[in-house]
Amino acid sequence: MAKMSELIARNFFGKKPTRLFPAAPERIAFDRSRGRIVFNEKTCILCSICARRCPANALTVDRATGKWELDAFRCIICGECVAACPKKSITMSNERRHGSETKVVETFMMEPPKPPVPKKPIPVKPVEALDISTEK
Amino acid sequence: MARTVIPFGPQHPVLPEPLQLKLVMEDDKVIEALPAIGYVHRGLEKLAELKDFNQMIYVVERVCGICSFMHSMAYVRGIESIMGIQIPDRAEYLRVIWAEIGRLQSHFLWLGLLADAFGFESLFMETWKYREKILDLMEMTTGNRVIVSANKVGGVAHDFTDEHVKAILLAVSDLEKEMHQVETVFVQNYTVKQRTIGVGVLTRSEAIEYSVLGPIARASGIKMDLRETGYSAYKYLNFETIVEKEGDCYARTVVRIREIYQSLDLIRQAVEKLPTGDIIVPVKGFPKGEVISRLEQPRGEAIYYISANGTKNLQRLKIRTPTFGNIPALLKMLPGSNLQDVPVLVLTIDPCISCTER
Repeated sequence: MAKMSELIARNFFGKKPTRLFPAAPERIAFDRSRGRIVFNEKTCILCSICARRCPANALTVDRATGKWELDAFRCIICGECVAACPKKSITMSNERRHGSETKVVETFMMEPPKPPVPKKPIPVKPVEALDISTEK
Repeated sequence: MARTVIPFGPQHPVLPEPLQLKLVMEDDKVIEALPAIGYVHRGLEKLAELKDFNQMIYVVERVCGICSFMHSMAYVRGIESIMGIQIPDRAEYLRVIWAEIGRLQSHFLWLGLLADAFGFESLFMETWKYREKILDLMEMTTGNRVIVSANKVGGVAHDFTDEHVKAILLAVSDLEKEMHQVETVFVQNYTVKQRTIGVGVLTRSEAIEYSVLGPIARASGIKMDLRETGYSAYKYLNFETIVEKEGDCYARTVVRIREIYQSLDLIRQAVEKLPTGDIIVPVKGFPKGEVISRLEQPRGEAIYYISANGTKNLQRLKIRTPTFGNIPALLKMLPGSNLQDVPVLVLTIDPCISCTER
């Protein structure tokens, strides 16, 4: 029992292990902490690899309208999209997103990529065509 | 004497998880216990047929919040053995370090819950204070406290820096010092002894008959630890399986306390031997074949059966978690005990119901 009293006495006079949130500031996040996803629409090429790799289906990319959308309530912050992005448009920030009562959806509108120009059909010269009518 | 049926759970102050036991009581004695599970079934195994096999890592991590790293480790080891991937040595060591940190936090959590079960609130707070340090190590090295998402097929996603190694070694030596103080309370305190010694005895022959797993088997004198088979980097580390003979709640507590020291030692050994090199190898193609992957979790042995058919989705994923194997032994221990011992008895098997139901 003496041991427990010692522990209690140390806790009573020692530094508090907890903090009075929200009155006191929260603990500084570690550099590697996965807080939230930050998107840079300037470098995005709307390739939609991130949406395909997302395990929680939190990302939607629409190439036709140029929309990139993150549903923060679905996002599990696994970092799969950050690793997958070929242009490094998605980065991980260690700042946490706080609780919210309304649904948080981040939408970015970009210029939709131009549809690829259809190739002109190569004209076939009639001279090179095989004439089977004269073949014997 | 008339018999009464008392429902214990699914919402009970002592149980963090929805396990229901219908206790058939005669006065103050338990005559029979009837379990009812199925309150948190989520159908995660079925998701394997819908998700990409790489995305499934994040799903299997959510099978259990406590041993999340080891669930993903069992899964990726299974996929790697199907695809014949040899992962770098450094990745194996990193996996072992994270697995042991996971075991530490699970055992600290359990010690706190046990103290809470017999009403020792201050000991519960004290134990969880130390667990917080271990979770900080997890967040520092992987980016998240519990669901760490550090495993990938072919290696691991994060590497240690020199600062991380220093912080881990410092935390390990701190925890060892502090653990000695908490240990004396658990092992020598009169109150704790009164509530645990001779309660819920499971003899060695009964333990074999009920095929118990993990710390419960080791507390009943069965030398059984899958880490001895030398999977992952455990083959390079020195350790001995911890065995106690009594088979009561006290022995189960002692086994877990000694395993905390063992984990601290394993982390230290692994950090010292940590080789340099890559942490991940590129993976191409889809798995085809079937495999059974097993590993030792904090609660016992987990079995993963994976069947893949060469497409991006798996054909079948079956998970056998340790609690599933330990519930029959709990039903053996409960009859004959007093009502006030039921929370302690239920906790000594360390039930994880969300694991069991998936």
